[in-house]
Amino acid sequence: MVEINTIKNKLKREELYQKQKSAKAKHKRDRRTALQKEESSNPEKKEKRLAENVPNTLENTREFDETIVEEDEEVAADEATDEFAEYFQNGLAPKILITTSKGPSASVYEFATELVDIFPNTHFVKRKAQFEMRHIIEFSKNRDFTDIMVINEDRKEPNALTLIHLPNGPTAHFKLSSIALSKDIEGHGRTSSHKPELILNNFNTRLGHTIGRMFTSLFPHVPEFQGRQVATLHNQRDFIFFRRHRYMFKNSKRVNLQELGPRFTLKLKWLQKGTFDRKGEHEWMFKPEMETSRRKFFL
Amino acid sequence: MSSQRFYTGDEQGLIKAVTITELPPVKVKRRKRNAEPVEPPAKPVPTVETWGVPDREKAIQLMCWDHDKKHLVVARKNGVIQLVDPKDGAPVTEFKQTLAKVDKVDTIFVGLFANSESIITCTNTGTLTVQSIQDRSKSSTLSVGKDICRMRVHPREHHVVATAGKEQELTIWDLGVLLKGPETPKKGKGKSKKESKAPVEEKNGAPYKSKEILANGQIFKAKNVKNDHLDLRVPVWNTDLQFLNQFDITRIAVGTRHHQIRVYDTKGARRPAVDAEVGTMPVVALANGKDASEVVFSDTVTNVYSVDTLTGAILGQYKGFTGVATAMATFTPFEDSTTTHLVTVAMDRCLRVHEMDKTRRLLHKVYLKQRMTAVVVGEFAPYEAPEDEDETGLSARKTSGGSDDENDDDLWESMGKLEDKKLKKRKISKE
Repeated sequence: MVEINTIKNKLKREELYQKQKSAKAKHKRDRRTALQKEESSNPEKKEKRLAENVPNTLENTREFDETIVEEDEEVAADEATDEFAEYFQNGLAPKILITTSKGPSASVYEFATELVDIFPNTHFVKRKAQFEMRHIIEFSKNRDFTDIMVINEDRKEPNALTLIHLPNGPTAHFKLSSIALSKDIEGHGRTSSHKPELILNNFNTRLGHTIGRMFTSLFPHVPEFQGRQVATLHNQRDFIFFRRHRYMFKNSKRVNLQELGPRFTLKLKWLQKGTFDRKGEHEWMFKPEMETSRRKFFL
Repeated sequence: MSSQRFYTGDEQGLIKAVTITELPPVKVKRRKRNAEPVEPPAKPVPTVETWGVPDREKAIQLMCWDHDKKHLVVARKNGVIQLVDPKDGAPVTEFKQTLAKVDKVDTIFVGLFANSESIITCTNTGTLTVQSIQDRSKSSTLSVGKDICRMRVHPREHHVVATAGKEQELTIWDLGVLLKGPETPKKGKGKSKKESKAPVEEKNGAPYKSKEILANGQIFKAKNVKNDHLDLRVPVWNTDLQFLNQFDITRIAVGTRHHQIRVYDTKGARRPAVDAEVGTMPVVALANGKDASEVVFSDTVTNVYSVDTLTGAILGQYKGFTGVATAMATFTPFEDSTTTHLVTVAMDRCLRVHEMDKTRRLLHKVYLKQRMTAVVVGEFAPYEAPEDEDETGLSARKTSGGSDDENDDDLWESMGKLEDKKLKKRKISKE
């Protein structure tokens, strides 16, 4: 083997390099076709290879977290009587109030309209400047609302979502990003008023459980399956991705998905015990110093 | 292996006994000095024992030791005060108080203390109850004003009670005077000498010049700080307080909802001697530092800071909290060492132990599955070194005398030993 970069003639060098490159590619191609041939006759081998060859990702090399909940009586007992017990144990149907920060701009209204569309039994109320959050919480409690969503904006774009569970909290505050409204999604479907199904993914830790329960309690207990609408909250690396689809049965085996929109991403910033209070006690709060590793996740 | 025990209380009414076992740090240091390659000691696995059945109505609000650390005293949400055996968590005795809702607000316990004879409790409605442990029927109730946020009893002078709250200035009460009348309270055996001290001090003329007459039983009542630069009254909302000194009652630190740490010197003025703004969020809990010159406080945005009580400056922050630290306690882990440790329980369901030196290092973190509300420092089982009998003997003796109510002899004895040790060291160095 000649050291290509020691050859002084540029033409010769290029020629050799190309030769070497194509030989390498051919070798790879040959290896792969041979493997393919072998595996087509022996599908078990392929399965074995795929099972063994798992690439390392941030998720599967996640740092050990003792708070991940697995079959735990104590946690189950805790959750059986927590703030969401009214929804989970007693079957209280959710009733949601959506409002904005003071003096909202058009984009916030647009986003609020989408949120109203997502959650059944939702009421949008225009925010009036004379009412503080504590007043709104009090009013909503009197009107039997179970949750309040407040959309906050910055530079005329929605940038945060605060979820308040009523009557006894908790309050979660999320950073809101990557918003794509339905109309911006190419080939999106039109929504129907059916109660959607809900998919929650990867809310594994104790904190994640609380957040997951919080989201669950925003949706009605029994979905209307004829609507074939699914709302997904997928947690990956502490980012919660919201997507909404309609599934369509192509034939008895295949299913197509049609995206309905909107899309947005949430990231938990803090969780407060009790209803929103600026001076309230935080059960969990994100701080930059907590990011000690890229493989550490909290939800 | 030496081990340290903690007892925690949580919102589900469970008591958890956490035992943290570790190699004594002294030993490790010595090895390092000899420059032998030492592997880092294996991370100790804390053991957790859980007592009780989950029930939110029995949520634990406060916990403390009784007189000689025989029983844990637990105050629960449903008004039950239990004496619990620290070995197996079995309730020994129970006292029931009715906590009625006032103006849609739950009545909660804000102070709990027990000595050999009685349990002293206080609720946020200002009902101070002195319940005799031996005689169930013997209890007296006093009112110390409404919206009380914290009541604490001086660790040595058990008749000195301090209260503070929302629009309630720091007030120090003398239970001896308060309870005078039908019954004469008699606290701990060897206490009679000290007990007489404080009233004398009071009789010697109020140390402050104000003409305001103290109500019956009050030793001291603080005065609000001066108006601000707009000549507006500064609102009062004290959230927690701590007696700074074990031996006298005059220095008290107070944390407020308006993020101030105030240190009162009752010998001096009625206004605080130190009034410092710390951070921007309300103070949740306050704990003593390693000595009277330091207090540790936690705020609602999960910070825990150490504050100098002489200047009011923040000395440093304890890191690692993801939830509000709801209860804190300081303790000396190895009785013959000079280090102090800070144990905290937080809303993020963890118990943490920090070192209270300049590094403020996180030593242990134990996940306890519940939102914790109370913590009590339990027994320390010393490291049993077979080859070094002297040291174990010393530490064992000190453990036995480590309780709040050790008598003076014990204290002097232990101090004498410390000197001996220093001398020894010096001798060695000279050699």
